Amino acid sequence: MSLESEKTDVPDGGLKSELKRAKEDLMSLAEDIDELSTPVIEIWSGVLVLPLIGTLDSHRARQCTEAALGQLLERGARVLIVDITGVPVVDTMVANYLMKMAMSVQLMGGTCIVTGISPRIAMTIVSMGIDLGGTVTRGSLADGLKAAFAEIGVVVQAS
Amino acid sequence: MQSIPILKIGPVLMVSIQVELTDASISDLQEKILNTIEKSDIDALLIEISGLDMVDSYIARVLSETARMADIMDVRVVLAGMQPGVAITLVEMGLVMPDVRTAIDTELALSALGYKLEKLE
Repeated sequence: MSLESEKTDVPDGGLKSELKRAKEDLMSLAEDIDELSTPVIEIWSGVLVLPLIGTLDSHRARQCTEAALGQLLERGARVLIVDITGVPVVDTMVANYLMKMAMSVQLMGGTCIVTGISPRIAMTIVSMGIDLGGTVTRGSLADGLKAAFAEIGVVVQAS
Repeated sequence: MQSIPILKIGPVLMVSIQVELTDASISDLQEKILNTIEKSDIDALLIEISGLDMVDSYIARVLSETARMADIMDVRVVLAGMQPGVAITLVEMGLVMPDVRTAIDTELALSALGYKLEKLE
């Protein structure tokens, strides 16, 4: 009964426009989140880092891949480090996204290094029998950076 | 049909694909490249595809086959300038061209082939 009375309070047109506005708000929020969630940082000339935080779904994986590949081309970078320290769960789907990302980078002529493999993630990957297909992996971002330097022939020395 | 330039710069053969490819034009291009390799002393082949926004499975196959054929003819091959969208599509289709060397742009492709462009004194 109360629902009906509410219905009569708001004319149909008003409700529709309100719904439309709410939908637009949601969409712009989603866009904001997308932008915030995929920073691609040039950590060294020719070395990009994509720090992934939070869960990866197909939409976000595709978006990250597009952003990273676009930056790779734009900056003429040779190495992309994907850091998954902040990704809580790596299952077959996530591993698959990471592999696809690595393969796309390789197709473009770059090298992809996946870093931030915690012991828990390593255990999951092996016990679930996930095949990473020759993707270069490193434990920490620092080790990944070392591998990237080796790839582009940079030697860092303490003075 | 628009022609695709095949430029011989010293020992390097450079092919820049800047037009949409049809099945016929890619086969034609493959033949021309291999003929040029046979006729002249070519050490390296650079295929630049930054102008390609779309690659279907046929074109991808012909490209990677061309690379393998050139390889058999003792010519080193680098595929340069692939667009992100193309790379993503190829991976989705499972066409990862494991035998083909790739580079982000022509400069890196040249250095991957062991060449560097220098101004003469």
